[in-house]
Amino acid sequence: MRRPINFLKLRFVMITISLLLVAAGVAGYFLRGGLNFGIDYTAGLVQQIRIDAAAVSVDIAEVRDALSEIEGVDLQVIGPPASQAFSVKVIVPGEDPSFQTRMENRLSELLGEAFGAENLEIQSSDFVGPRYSKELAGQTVSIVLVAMLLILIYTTFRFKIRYATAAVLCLIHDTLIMMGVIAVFRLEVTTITVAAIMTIIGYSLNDTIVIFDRVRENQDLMRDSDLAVILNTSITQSMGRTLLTSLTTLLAVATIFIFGTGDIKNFALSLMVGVVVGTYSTVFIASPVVLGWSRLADRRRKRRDIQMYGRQAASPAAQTRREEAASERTAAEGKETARQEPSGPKAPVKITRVQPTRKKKKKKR
Amino acid sequence: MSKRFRLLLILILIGVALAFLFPTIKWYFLVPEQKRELSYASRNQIKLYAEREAADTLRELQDMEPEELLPEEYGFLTEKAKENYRTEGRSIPRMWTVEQLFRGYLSREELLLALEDHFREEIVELKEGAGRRINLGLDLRGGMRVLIRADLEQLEEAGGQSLTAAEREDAMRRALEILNNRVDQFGVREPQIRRQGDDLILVELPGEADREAMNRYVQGKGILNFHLVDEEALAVFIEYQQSNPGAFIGPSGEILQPDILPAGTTLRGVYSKDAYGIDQLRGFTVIESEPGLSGNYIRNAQVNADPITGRPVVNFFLTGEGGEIFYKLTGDNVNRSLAVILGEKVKAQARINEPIRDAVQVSGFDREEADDLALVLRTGALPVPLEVINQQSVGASLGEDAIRIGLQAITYGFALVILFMLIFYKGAGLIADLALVLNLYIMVAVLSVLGFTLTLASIAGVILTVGMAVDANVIVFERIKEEYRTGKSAKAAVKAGFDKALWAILDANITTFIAAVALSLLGKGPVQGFANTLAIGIVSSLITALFVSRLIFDFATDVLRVSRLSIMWRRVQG
Repeated sequence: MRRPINFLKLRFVMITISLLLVAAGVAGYFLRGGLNFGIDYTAGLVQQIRIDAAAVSVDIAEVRDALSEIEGVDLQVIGPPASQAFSVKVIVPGEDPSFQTRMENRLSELLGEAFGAENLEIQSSDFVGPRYSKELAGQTVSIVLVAMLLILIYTTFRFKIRYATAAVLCLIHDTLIMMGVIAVFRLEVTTITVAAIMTIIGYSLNDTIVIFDRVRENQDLMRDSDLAVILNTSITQSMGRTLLTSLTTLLAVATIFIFGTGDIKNFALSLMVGVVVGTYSTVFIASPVVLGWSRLADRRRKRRDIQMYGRQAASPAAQTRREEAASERTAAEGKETARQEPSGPKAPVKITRVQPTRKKKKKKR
Repeated sequence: MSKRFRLLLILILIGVALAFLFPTIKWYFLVPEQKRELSYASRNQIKLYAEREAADTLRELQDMEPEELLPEEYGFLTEKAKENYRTEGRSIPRMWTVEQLFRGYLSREELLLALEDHFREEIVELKEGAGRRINLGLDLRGGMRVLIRADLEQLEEAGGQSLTAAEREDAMRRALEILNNRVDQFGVREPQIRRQGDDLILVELPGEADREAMNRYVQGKGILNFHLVDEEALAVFIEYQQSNPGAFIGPSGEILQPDILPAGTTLRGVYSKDAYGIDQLRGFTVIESEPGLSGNYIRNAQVNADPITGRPVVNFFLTGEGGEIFYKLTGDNVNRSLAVILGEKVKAQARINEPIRDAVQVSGFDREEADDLALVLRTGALPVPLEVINQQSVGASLGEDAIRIGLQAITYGFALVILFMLIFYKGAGLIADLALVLNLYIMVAVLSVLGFTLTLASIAGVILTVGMAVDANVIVFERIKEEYRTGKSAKAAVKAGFDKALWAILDANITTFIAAVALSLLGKGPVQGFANTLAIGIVSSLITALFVSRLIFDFATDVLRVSRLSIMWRRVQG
């Protein structure tokens, strides 16, 4: 067996990096003036127009000039500049039932005046009314919450609450960082973005669960090992798979990014960020949370036991003297394993029968 | 389970998937472009097509030598002929010649009708098959899509009381009926009108987008009108028609305006429904171009029985304002005729007997005609105010680009993953690739049988699933490698690898599946399409990775007696 890499040693550094990333995202959110919502969430009209390059040559500044009298118009180039395709976005100002037709006519009028009506091609037009957008926004929040809750329930049922919490914390971490990237680069937030975030939630979770599954398996095999060692071993064993799956997924997503345009390109970009962040968080966020929780729980229980029964009774009565000695010996082995996982009734490492400690030997194989 | 049984199961799966896929394959590869286009067309277009084809075929058959054998493609004609032979007590010929076929039909019209039915059925079948094949979404084929909300709250406010569930249902049903009725049957394309959820109606119109026509259609403005008939101009027209019959109908059935009519008058066709519910042109009338009254003033219309004669009458009621206009109109024009015009078609004409205010009775029909007229009149008055909440239109050229991009992305993404697996896992990579291909195949088959609408977002979902679908295989392979390194035999390593990886794979996929289902149930539009692809992909990747890959491994170790696994590049140290 490969020698386990001590991923957990880096946990404080990594958690700090994560917190910094999240903070950068939040800062970006405020500095950039919030998220760049698409019309799915703000209500408005988006048209993709193309001005015949054979007839007139225009750049985005000229188009902006032509549309200068419309307030709050958002203009973007689509695809290669030579094809002269632009996206025009106008937000609905409050409740205005006639907005759609009025604005559609106004846009074609202004652009037609500037570049000739016969050179103007409206390639696509997309309108979302205010009520629908509000509904979509509400729905999005409920989708994410419901999905997370369901995942929490399933993982709690399959594992333990501390694993489930770690998994969900991971998901929140991934979502926050992705949202940060979206805010900083002002990627448009549409329903497709939500799909991207949900995919990453599923993906990152997939990663985390595979490792936790290995942890569960290793807890039976390495009964006397410290939780940190078990976690490190499990991450190391799963590393090949974690990297390979990330790689194949990235390969697939990269092709979407290369070939796609507009919404789909943004979708692929968010996914690439998400896959990287998801892989990272599985290794460096999920396991430390489990470790931290376990240690906190142990310390609290130990303290309570000491208060109630005194130092001698700190371990449960079912435990044999042999194990007591073993635990004390490992505690003496070094700082890292000082707060070792004792085998209380609630601890993840369960010890049911006496057996010789073979931890060192196992590692060598 | 024995290997033979597992193989059988997989073959059955492949077979069923093929059956699922068949309608999609047929549609995109076997049905000619022209017929695909026709299936989007309006009923009237289909009818015209069937008539044209039937006439051509009949001519072709008549031009053939009588003793020539009937070409295979017209085999469908013998069925009716056989029936006729039987009823006349003649013996049915073994080989059908053209002459024998003609003898099987009582008249030329009967044969023409049989041909027409056949061609019409063919297109209608294609049209109705849309629910069993993968359809291209708006963003891929171009067209227009409008999501309309029926404002039931406003209806409640107007009525001053909340609506019961049944009342809401009824209002929605009527709104749908009216939208359906507004469809211009002469339009080139037929819009798809579907109910979505509680109070939403989705209208889709493939092909080039005519935004103004769609708005008119949704708002119903100017769709139903009352026009006075111009008798003088009509007389002029009738005289002209006798010397130029048939000069007023365009190639697709539209009415052409002759120059001889005085300004301010319009020629319109008079229609009634035929057996297929399609409007048939019955004659012409000339109306004043300016409408006398807009149909928007109609409050309600219903069919009643005349208390004395018992004959059906149509009663309709106008709003107060409409009643005033109508009173003036009818008062000034007693004894003239008034035409009810829906779109561009005259649906009814009636003589004005006296000035009428807001309660109008029209009589002189049979029950069916009366029902039809009442329906037409109600078209003007929507039971619920409608509001456009989402409108999308995509040019056809943009759609073509999108398809090309989507196909390219799928091809390259898929190829990259396949190649990667092959290089990384060598022989075992081939197994994973086989599973991957089968996975894509099953996914597309399931999407096909569900009548899935493929959009750019769902193509992205497919690619993503391909990337993630190898995951289950990777988990297993990594496990097998581990076991193999410990010195186990190939067979034992494979068994241990699959057994130990099982729960990791199930747990991981079930949680992702939960996320996908939540997304599918709560999401709408593109999100839902994406989630469905993801969910289907998860299930099929589980089947292929755990079941198909396993069988191939077992086959290799048990039957081919492979003792060395080709799964990694590094040498296994004893």
